Amino acid sequence: MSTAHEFEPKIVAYVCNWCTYLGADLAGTARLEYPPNVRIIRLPCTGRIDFNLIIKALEVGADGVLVSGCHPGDCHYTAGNYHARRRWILFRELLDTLGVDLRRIEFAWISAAEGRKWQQVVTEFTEQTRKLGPYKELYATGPVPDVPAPETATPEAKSFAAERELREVCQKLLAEGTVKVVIGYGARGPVVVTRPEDAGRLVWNNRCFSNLTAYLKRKEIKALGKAAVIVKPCDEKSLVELEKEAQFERKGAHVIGMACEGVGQPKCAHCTARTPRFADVTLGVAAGAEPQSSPSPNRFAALMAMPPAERMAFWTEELNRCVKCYACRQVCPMCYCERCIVDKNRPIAIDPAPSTKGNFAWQIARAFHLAGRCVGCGECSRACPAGIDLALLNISLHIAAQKNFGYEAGADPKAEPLIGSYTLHDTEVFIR
Amino acid sequence: MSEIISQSVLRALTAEWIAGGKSVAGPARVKPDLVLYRTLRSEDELLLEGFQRPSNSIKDFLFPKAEKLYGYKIHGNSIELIENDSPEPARVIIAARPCDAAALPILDHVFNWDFHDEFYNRRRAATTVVTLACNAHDENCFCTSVGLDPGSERGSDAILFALGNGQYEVRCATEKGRALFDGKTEKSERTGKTIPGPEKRFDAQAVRAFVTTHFEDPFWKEHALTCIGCGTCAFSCPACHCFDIVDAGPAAGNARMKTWDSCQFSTFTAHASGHNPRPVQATRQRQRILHKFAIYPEKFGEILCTGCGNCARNCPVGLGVLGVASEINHG
Amino acid sequence: MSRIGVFTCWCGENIARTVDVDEVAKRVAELPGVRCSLNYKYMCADPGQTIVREKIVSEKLDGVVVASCSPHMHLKTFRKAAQAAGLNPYLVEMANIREQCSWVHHDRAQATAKAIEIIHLAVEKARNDAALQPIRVPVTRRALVIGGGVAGIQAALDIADAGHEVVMVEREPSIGGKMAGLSETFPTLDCSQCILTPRMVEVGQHPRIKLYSYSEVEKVEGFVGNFKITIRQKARYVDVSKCTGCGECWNVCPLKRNPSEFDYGMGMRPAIYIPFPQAVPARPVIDKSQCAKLIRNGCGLCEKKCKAEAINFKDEDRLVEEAVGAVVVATGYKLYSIAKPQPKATLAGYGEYGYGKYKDVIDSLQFERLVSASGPTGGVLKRPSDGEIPKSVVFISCVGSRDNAKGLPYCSKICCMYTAKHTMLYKHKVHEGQAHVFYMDIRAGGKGYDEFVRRAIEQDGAKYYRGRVSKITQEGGKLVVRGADTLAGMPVTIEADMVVLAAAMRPADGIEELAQKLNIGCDEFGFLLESHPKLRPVETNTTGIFIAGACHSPKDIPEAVAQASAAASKVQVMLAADELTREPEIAAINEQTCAACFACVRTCPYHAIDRAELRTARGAFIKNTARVNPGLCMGCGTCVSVCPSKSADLQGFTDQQVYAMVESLA
Repeated sequence: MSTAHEFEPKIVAYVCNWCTYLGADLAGTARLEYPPNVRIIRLPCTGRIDFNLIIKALEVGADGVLVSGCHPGDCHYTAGNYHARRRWILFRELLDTLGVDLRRIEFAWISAAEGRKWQQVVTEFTEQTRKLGPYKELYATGPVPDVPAPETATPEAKSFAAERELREVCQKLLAEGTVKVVIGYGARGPVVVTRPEDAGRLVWNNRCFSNLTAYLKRKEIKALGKAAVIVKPCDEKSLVELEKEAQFERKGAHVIGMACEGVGQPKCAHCTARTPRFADVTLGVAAGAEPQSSPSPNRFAALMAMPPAERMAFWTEELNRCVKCYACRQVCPMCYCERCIVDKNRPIAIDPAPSTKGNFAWQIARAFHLAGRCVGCGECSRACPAGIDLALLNISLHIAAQKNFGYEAGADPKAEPLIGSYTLHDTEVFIR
Repeated sequence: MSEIISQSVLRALTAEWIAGGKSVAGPARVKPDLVLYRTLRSEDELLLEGFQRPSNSIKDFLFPKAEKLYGYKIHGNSIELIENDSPEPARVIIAARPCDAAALPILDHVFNWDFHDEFYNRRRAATTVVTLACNAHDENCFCTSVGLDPGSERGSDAILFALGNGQYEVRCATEKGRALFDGKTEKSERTGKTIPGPEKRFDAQAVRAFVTTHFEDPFWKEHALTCIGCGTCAFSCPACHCFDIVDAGPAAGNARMKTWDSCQFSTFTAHASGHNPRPVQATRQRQRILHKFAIYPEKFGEILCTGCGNCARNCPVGLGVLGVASEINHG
Repeated sequence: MSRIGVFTCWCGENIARTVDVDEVAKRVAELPGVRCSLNYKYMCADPGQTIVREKIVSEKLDGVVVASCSPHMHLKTFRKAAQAAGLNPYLVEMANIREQCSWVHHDRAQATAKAIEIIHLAVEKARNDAALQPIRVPVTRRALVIGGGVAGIQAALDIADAGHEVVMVEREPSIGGKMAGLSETFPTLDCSQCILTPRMVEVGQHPRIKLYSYSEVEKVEGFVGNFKITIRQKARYVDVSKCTGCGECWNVCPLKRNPSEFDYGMGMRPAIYIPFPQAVPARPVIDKSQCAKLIRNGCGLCEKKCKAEAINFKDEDRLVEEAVGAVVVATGYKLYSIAKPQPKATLAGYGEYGYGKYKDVIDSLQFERLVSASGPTGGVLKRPSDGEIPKSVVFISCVGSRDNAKGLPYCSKICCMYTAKHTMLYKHKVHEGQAHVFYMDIRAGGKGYDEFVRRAIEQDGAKYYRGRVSKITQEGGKLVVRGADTLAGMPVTIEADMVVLAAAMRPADGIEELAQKLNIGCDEFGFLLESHPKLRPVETNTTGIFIAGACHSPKDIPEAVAQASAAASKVQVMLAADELTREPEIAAINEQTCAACFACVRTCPYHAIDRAELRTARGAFIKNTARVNPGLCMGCGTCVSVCPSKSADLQGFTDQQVYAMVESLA
């Protein structure tokens, strides 16, 4: 589209068939002229527009992306645009955290009667994008700002008092056949104990990092029979969300909750839940200072205080180290899809290479898929062999969920899951 | 008589190499508790002490995580291939560990076996490896269990031994090493010594014997229950070399890419038919140990492991080759 | 390998004037997958369509792109043409180079370049099209009508007259609804029962209507075309097949002083009763909470008296199953309960009006019974307290309606009209009486409606005060009504003998449970949700379930009847054949890779996705999965966006297609 001398922005527009597409048709019938830079991709409903389409448009070099559909309340499919709106609210926050230039992604409600509005929106958006210039800053490197690294202490291993009681409880559970397997912590990492005499392998100390609920999805472990799983209060929140998604049945498992004194991870400084709430048996006594409100704004606030271009440079530097080992995915209890989106290859949804583009695409997908589901156990960051501050992405969506919808993953078993629900009053501020 | 060099001269040399257009890679501190081998932007980034070893390996520079094999353009109904034959810059890897360098001769076999991998060979030819002998080892190191030691020169073009007081003995093993250090060192009476390596953690032959005779042993199933099936061990291992080839289309830049793959991924052996001969983690863990201790040695006469311990250090759930092999041996 | 044919239209001058169609055809021929590319003056005309058909055959095309106007204009046209040539119609796409290109740009070079790119998008889509087959859903050609008021009756008769069986379920002992209890209806002052009862009889005698009276819908299973309805027939304690309706039983019943539901408490009825003389079915029912025999095994007089031996004290509720293909919900309304404590604090009641406290403060339906010829007072307007004929009656509008603070925010639509009617009925019965109406606005928008209200004021002398009533007290045998006349700008106090409150219209009790059973939506007031307020007012989001009457929103009888016929016509479309065909551009889930998180199940606006199990051919369980019901899915694709494993995809707009389209812009 561009001549050698003049920059012509490339604008991709995803529009719904029943309102905006007809609105664009109306602009045509009324001969309302606008710049020829927009390329329209017609979809039945804004509900069909998933975040990956926006990323793909940017990946193929779009300088601007326009997303438009029916006004709330008028959706041809009644609720598609409500669901879309909720996703857009969250996705924008994630993109903002990454330093993506939000001025390049425009959302609008344009009805079939609003031919003039189509003309206006396209004209203004094209001109604005022309002034901004080609979107070269996407995934660009640059001077990396100073964002404080997560504070991890690697203390000397110190057993907690409840360790002995834990071993006795588990020994009894196995000996009496109440459970067939205990998923717990061992000397070097998680252990799976099936014999009562092996209960002595279980430990409970300040290095019990793992979120053991991640093992509940494993077929080989399920095949062993009813399981007891040991959870810290932070891990227990995962059970709340897993239950909402039909992945965990409380009746089918024995939950051993451990009151926790902290395992030296960044999350521990901001812990609000020292004692498990729903366990079948709770052991130990929580010690330590009064909890602060979570999650801590420190690292996140420092990041968001930077201008977007610096944020982008930060993330490019961080994500360039990603090797796509998927440790972040494998340790996460909420990542239980047997065929992950990255494994889908007809068509390829996420660029599989550990290139800059591929790494951004993966981490965006991971963080966004966890919106409203991540309980902040921090295992993803700890597991990353490249030291990427992954938890920052999850924190950004956690804050977005709280701020916009009053939703906190893992807090309320009765709360409707964040994605897949909507209210009539979800924020509209950024939608034209 | 030995040749020695001071740290400041070494750093000045590094700066020279960088200024001269060479790609210089070495350990750098990335986060307060993370050291990685990286392409250095300046000699200040080079980290020579205060850590056991980087969390990644030097294979990153010879067998990168993502390599463009070739690009393509579609014209109408025909396809134009665009070769990737950009010349490889000269590269120096400075302060590699012996357990990293020793992996290169091991990898040379598989990359030149039935097919000469031009990408690997190009990079290998253009790279000079300057190893820094270890002066400490931690509980995850086990080079001595696989026939190496903290001062091994295998795979190095030159090896440095810390003498204390910021001085290093330089021993050049190849032309490439000499080309870097000739005329830059001073004569000395002091020589570096290889420190005693870690206690043998396991007997590699006994492990090989076990894995070749206990294919169906319940050990594998029990042991693999906690493995989460990520790629951390394979990707941080200096010797692991499995890769995948993907055509990812215009959004990914219209290129055929060669990328790292891990035998622990659930889809590693998935067939187009839908069948997967290694459907559970136990079969995949078993394969890993078998490959490293039995199959590769049988084929190429080398254990596919240098005992660097990265797998054990990086594993999110505390496993790694060290853990399995120890368990096999000591039960 | 694709063989796409691209046909670029000039649309006369509409496209060709701005877009260089020759250049377009030339450049498009070079696009990957394009087998042939040409342009023609009018593709939609017969010769144009012929060209398409011929090329499909001669070039063995497996896909067609017509670059012309909007798909909303002619996609169906070209799909039909392709089908006629033997090409699956879903392999046809359109590139909009008129409304979205030639009509909105003037620069020839830019418009031509854009047209080529638009066509490239369409070609990529077409290359990834799949040959879809229309979905066939078998249909049980019977309908269920829930509710036997005027709307339900109209719908049932329309459907039954069209030749289909109708099952009607009514929870009261008789059909007729609220209309059976009205005296005269506006704007004609027709006797309500006189116009309704012939219809009721028709329903009762119709060979194709199966009436379950005194029954309720217990359970609804299945989906459009294939509903299985479980109906609870409540125990009447009277065998209707033996009963002749002679009336001996209710005459002899000693327990005569039970407030009559039909008369809204203005009259009494026995424990065994028929709600009103013209009831259909004209068979009595025993109220088991009042009958001495059923409670403590006493009495039993009715059984002794019944010559037909129809009384059966051992009767029990019965569950019956009916299979139907479509459902019409016509459950009607009830009035806002003014006196009772309200479940929600915002519905605070209007205690200041003294309803429930003063016997002569009544609501509009109670007034209807008092003036009804067949009512408890024989049509003589006797006030409830002492039977005296009131000489002055105050009517208060909008009690509970249009009140954001402690009522319902909406307008109940019919009260202005029936209040005017009440003043006229009052005047016709009590010539020296004076009617006073306190109103906020007069809403009289129907045919003859405004004239009707003017008649009440000008001919029948009703006094209208624009203002609200603050309080009603009883002083010296009179009901003192204190209100305002805002047009005159002064307070108004009236000493009335009776007060009638026009209470707000609300949906009938139990609507929310019923809606849940049917899987249809309610708004916050309980009114059932239509699919689209303008274009689909009688359909719901659950295909196969329709709504009619006051359960949808407050409305009067003509509107309820019109809506009922509308719903009936929709039902007739549905039941027109043994099979329904639906567009196949719907969602599909790869059940092997589905993670069974069920995000799609809770997201789907049409409840078209269910939790299901993937089993082997022999029935062994493999895994849980989500499963799309092809009979219900409307093809919005919202499920595709929430699926984390990308197992859900939308036929006709698959990920493969959309990604190919975006990537063509690289």
